[in-house]
This record gives sequence, structure tokens and C-alpha cells, in this order.
Amino acid sequence: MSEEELMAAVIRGDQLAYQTLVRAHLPAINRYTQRLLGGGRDTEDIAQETFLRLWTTAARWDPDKAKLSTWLHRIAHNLCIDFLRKQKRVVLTASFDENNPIEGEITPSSNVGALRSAIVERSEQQPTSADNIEQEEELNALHSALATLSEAQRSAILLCHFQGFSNKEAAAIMNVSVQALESLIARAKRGLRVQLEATRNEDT
Amino acid sequence: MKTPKQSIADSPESHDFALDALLERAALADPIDAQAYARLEARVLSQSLPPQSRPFVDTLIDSLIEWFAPHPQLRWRSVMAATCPILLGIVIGNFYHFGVATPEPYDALANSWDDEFAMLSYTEVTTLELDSGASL
Repeated sequence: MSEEELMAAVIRGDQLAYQTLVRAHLPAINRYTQRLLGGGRDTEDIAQETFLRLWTTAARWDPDKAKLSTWLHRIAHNLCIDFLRKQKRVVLTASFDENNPIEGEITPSSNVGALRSAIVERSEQQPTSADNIEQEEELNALHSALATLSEAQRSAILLCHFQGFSNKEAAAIMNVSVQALESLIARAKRGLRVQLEATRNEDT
Repeated sequence: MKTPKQSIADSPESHDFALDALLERAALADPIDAQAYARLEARVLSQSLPPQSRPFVDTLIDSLIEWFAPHPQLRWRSVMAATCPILLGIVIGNFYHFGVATPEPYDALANSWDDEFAMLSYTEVTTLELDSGASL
């Protein structure tokens, strides 16, 4: 069955079609939310909410406008951005109340912190031969550098280089023009180069 | 063979290629926690789904909004949407007068033409008499 047929079945309330679509698209959505937010319970909540939206708003998907994967990534992206904005609002409220973030409360760098902890977990899981260690150091440096980028820049890099979308598709997911996306990617790459060279200089 | 990290530092021209290669490698090497993924998949598949059938009014409103929303190839729909208020006004105004008095129809006036002519004839006579008196 094609995706259009499966979506038509979902609109009719066919749960088997829904499950087929979940199995086909959950890995990519899960990777994207994990890469953007750094994993954890919130990431899983967002992935779950994305597929709930697939079920409730299936009739709004227009196959002539976007591929299903693009549409789902757009839903997930918007949920991630909403989540990050809520986090920032909580931090601002806490700092107005107490002049300092409350202990155990979400901090401004919690998103970066979650990404960093994901990187540490990642490095602990890897094999330890000499070549692998060097390659892993490079990848960890890259992931650390990615964590320092703004959400928009990180999303642009993740969509184009990790999720495999074209510039046009990534721009549609982020709801920006292709020129704006290219600008984001260029600035993100500049930031990554600076970070990677700084890491290299620290090592030597 | 140069590693991507060395290449990044070597020359500005190779920056993009080396960085792209590193990004590509990172995308391929990114591991997935099979256990966590299995748990998430089970969670998504087992979540309770609300009934698909929506109220007819909601569906109708959504369909109307979608139909009227600007599409690059179908600009006439937006124009039509913009003219909807005046068309609606014409239709409503044709049936309801909202207490505003309107002129009588032509046929109703036609019945009193005789009276009108009679009144006009008096006016003309008076005027003629006055004119003839003045000339004398």
C-alpha cells in the first residue's frame, strides 16, 4: 500500500494503517527529536505526540504539497520548538521570582546539558581500539559543537546532513525560505569550524 | 590519509569538504538504543487514539478554510473569498430591509398616474393664467 492509501485508511479510522505508518516513520522522527533535544522523557513525549497528531489531523496532509516524512518532521519540529520556548519561559519566570533559577528547575543551558550528557553516554558505549578512539573523539567534538549552536542552526544542519532532506524540504519543515535556510547552514558551519578548531587547539 | 579533523585545520578551501565528510560520518555512526527504541515504539503503538469521526461542522469549516486559503496556482479562490462579504450583503439585502423604507414599486405608482396628471394640469392652467395676466 502506498502512503496515500495508508493515510486514507487512517482517516477512516484504520488502526493497522496507523501502526504501519508508525513503524515506517518513528525511527526518523525519534532520531530527529533526540538529536535536537538530546534524548530523555521529553523527547519520547514529543515523538508520541507527533504520531497522535498524525492520527487526529491526517485529513490535513496534502500529498501534492509535501511528502509524509516532511509533514511529520514539520509537526515534530514545531513541537520541539514549542517545548524549547516553554523551557525558556519557565527559566525566565523562575529568575524573576528568585533572581536565580530554582534548584532542580530547568536552567538555560539544560538543553545543551542534555545534549552533552547524551554525548557522554554515547562515548561510553563505543569500542576502544586506537583508530576508533580518535574517530570517536572527532565525533564527540562535533556533537559538542552542535550542542552550542542555536536551535535554528542546529535544526538546519540536522535536517540537511543527518535526516537527509533537501534544502527545499528542510526549509518547508522549518517554515523559512530556502535562502534563509542556506544562511542558517552557512552560519552553523562557520560556528562548527570555530568550535572544532578550538577543541583541536585544546587537545594539542 | 588525512582525517577530517586534520583537514579542517589545514586549509580554508577544504573546510567545507572536511566538515561535510565529518557530518556524514556522524550521521552514519549515530547509534540507536535498541531497548529504548523498542520501549518508545510500544508506547506509541499502544497509546489510546481518539475517535476519528469529527463533528460535521468542524470538517466543513476546515474544508472551507483549506479551500479559501491562498494557493499559488488558484489565486481566484482568494479573490472569490474577498468578494464573499459583498455577495452575502447583496443576497441578504435583497430579502430583508431591516426597517429601512424603500420606494414603492413602479406598478404601484402607475395606478396613481391619473391623479398625478390631474394635479399637473391644474398647475399648468394656473401658471398659464398668471403668465397671460402678466403679459396683458
